[in-house]
Amino acid sequence: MWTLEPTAEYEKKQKKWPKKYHRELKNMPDNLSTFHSALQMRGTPQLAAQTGYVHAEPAGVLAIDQSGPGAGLKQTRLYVYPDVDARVLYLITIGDKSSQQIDIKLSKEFASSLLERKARDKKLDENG
Amino acid sequence: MAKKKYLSVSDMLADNAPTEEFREEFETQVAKRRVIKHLIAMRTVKGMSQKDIADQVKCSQSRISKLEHGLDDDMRLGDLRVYAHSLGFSIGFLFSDRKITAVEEVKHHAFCIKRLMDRLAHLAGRDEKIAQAVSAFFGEAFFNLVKMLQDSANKLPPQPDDESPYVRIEIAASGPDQIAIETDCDLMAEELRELVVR
Repeated sequence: MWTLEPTAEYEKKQKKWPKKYHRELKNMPDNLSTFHSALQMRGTPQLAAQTGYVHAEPAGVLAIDQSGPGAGLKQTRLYVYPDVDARVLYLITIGDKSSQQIDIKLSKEFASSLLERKARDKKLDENG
Repeated sequence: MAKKKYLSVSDMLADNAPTEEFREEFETQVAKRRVIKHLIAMRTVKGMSQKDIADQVKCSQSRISKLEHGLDDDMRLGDLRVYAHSLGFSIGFLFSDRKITAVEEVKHHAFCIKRLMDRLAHLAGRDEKIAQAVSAFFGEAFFNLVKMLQDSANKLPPQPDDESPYVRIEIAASGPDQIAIETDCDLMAEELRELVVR
């Protein structure tokens, strides 16, 4: 069973999200819940990245977009990292076009620090 | 770095939505798009794009996009049929009594699960390999069902006299074939206590 784990950064951004992009903020978790259902149905993050509303970013990060009900929606992204071994979907951050570079950088850093931590833990386990 | 884990987006938003009004709007939107979301999830599982579906259905990609961005009520039955068909599914309908209570519905689904489990057990026949696979699945299903029960029980308010939970279920899995479950609930059968599945 895949679980969702929001980071403090994600929760902070969600709380401070501008009211004028309210519809986008609603559509992103809507798409997230669809993606989550697909993972529960044994879908893989790699396959999901070919489906339109989920976009592949560097370092295994995926960006879920705002597509959904409503016209003239602003391009926004919810950045997630699927930890396939632990079956955890980390919600890293959300943003729009203006914060895209920073959001991707932050997401890549999150993914690499998570992988480093996992490798360290594995080594410790192996060493007893 | 990371915080609490959630089993669904709804659970998460119940905890951290920017406002209660936002959470309610989100739930309403999801409820109005339940079938469409299921279709998109199935398309995601298959790794198919909107264009793949459009090619199979012989329509434009923008038509599929419009359908996916819409509401269940706006979808034509014919569209639902061809979309599901292009994914390799047929559709079935279930008409249920609107007055059915949640408890009756849970019982109904529990019997459906029981029937399907029996079918799986029957499928094994005398084949040891299938029997092992089905047995492993039963263990997994047992664990997940108890986990769901635990999750729902955790949503109950605490008992007013001592703030203790009405139901306490602890799951400890020491291996894929060994799950120990400890319960503390007056309403549960004694046999559930320290039940060990091997």
